Amino acid sequence: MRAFRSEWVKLSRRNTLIGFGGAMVGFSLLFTILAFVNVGGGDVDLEGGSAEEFVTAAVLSLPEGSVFAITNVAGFLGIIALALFASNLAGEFNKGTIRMLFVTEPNRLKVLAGKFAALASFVALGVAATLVVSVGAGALLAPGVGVETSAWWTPDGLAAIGSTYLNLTAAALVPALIAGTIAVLTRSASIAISVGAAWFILGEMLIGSFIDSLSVWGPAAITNALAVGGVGGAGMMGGAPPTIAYATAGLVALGYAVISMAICSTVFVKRDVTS
Amino acid sequence: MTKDFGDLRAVDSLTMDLPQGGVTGFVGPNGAGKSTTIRMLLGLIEPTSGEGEVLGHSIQHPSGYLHQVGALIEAPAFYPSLTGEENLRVFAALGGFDRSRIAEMLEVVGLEDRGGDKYKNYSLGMKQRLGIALALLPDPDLLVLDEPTNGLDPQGIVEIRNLLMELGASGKTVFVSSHLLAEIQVACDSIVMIDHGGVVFGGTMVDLLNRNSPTIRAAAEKEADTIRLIELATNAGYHTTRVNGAIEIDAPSIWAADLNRLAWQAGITLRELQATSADLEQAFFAMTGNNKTGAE
Repeated sequence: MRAFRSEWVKLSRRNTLIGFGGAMVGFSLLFTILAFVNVGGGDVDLEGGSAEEFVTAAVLSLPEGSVFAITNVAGFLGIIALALFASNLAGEFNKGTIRMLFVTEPNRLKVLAGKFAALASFVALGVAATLVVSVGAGALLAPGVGVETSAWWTPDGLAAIGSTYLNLTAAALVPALIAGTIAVLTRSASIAISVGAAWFILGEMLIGSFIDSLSVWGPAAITNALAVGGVGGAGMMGGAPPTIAYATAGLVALGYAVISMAICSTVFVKRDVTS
Repeated sequence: MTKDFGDLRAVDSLTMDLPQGGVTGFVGPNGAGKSTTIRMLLGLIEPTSGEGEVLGHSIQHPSGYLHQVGALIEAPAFYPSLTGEENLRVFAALGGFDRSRIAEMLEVVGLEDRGGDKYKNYSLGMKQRLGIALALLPDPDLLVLDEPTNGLDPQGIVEIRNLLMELGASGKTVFVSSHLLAEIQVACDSIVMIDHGGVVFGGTMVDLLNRNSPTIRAAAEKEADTIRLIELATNAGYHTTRVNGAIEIDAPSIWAADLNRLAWQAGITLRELQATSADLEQAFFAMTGNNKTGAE
C-alpha cells in the first residue's frame, strides 16, 4: 500500500495527468466528435469505404451506440498505457532511482506490486475518464445528427457502458504489461515503447500473415478480442473482427499477465542494482 | 565478503567491523570496491560469497535493518520533473516516514527556500543536499553516505562535515566515503581503508596516523647542540633528518617527552619541540601504495 501511494505521488503530477491522461481523453474525444459529426456523411473514410458503411445513425442509436466510438480507439488507449508502463519502469533504472526505492523499501516485490497496481489504477481511471467524456460528448452531439440516445440509458445500454469499461481497461493493460516487462528486462524505455508499439500496431498483423495461430493467441489479437467483447464484435478501427471467444481471450490475457509478473518479479528480486 | 562481476573481483574477502556510534570514514582509490561494499551492505547487490551483519541483522535480510538506515549512494538519483519536496514525499510515502520531517530536513541541508523547485533545475550541490536530506528523513540509526560532499562549495562541505560530526556525537553511526581526505581526517573517529577490494586498515583515526610515519620536530636553542640532539635520537634508535636548523625524527609522538627529558639532562635547551602525526593523505598513499599522480 505504501508503494502504491508513493507511486501515485508521481502519477498525480500535472505532466503525467496531461501527458498520458490527456492523450487518452483527447484522442477519444476527437474520434467521438468525428464519428458523430460525420454520421451518415461521406467524409470519414477509415477503411477505404464510405462513412455510411462504418458508422450510421442506426448503429449509434443502439443501446451500445454510446460506446461505439471509444471501442474503436481501444488500440490507441493500449498504446498510451504501454508507453506509461514502459517509461515509468525503465525510468527507474535509467535515473538510478531504483536503488533508492529498494533501500527505502527492501521488499522488492512490494515495490513492484505497488508500482503495477498504481500504474494499472491510473490506466483504469484514464479509461473511466475517457469513457465519461466520450459518452458525454456523444450525448451532446447526438440530437444534431439524428441519433436517438434513449436506448443508451436503458439497462442494456448501461450494461454496455459497464462492460465496455472493463473490456477497455483489460485491453489496455495487456500491451502495458508486456511493454512493462520489456522495460524491466532491457531497462530502456525507448526499446520497450518502440518494440511494443510496433508489435501492437503493425508487427503482429504482418507476422500473422505467415503464422496463422497468432490470430488466436497473439497479444494484439487478444487485446482486440477483449476490447470488442470477443467473437461477434466489430473489430477495432473497423478492422477484422476477432476470431477468439471472449472467455478465451480473458484466459490468454491472464496468462500473459502471470508470465509478465513472474518475469518482472524474478528480475526485480534477483538482479543486482548497480545503476 | 567477496563480490565478483564476471571475471572481475570487485571485493576480495573484505572483512571489517564498524563501531556503533560516531563517524567512520571509508576511503580507497577509484575501483577499490567502496561502492560495491556499500551496495552489499544496503542489500542492493548480493555478495558472491561471505556474509555480513548490519545493526545485528544479516545482510541476506535487509528488511531487518534498512528501515533504520539512511543512505546516499554515489550521485543522488531523483525524479527530474518533481520538486525537491515532492521527491522526498515519494520516498516518505514508500518508507512510511513521518512527512512532517520533510520540511525540517530541507532546512537542515539548506534547501528550505528551494524545496519547491524542480529537481532538474537544481545545481549539483543542491542535488547532493537533497540526497542527504533523504538519507536523514527516516531519522536513521545508521547513515551510509557515499561521497556526500561531491559538488558542494567550501561552505557546504564545512556544513555537511559539521552535520556528520553532530550526528556521530549524538550516538548515531555514520559511515561515509569521500575523496576529500582532509575532510575525512577532521570528521571521522574511525576509518576503514581499502585497496584492490580488501581492507588495508581498519581502526581509529589516531591509530592510523600514529602508525604512519609520525615525526617529531625539534630544534636546539644553540645551533651547535644540533649534532648532540641528533646523537640522542640516533642512540634511541630513531632515524633523523636535518631540516633548516632543526631535526625531524621518525618517532612516535609519545617519544617527544623522552626527548625533552634527555635534552634537558644533556644540558640542551630546546627552542622547538613538536610532535607531528602523519596526515591522512600521507597514510593513504603509504598504505595503498599509490603515488600522488596515480591516486585519486
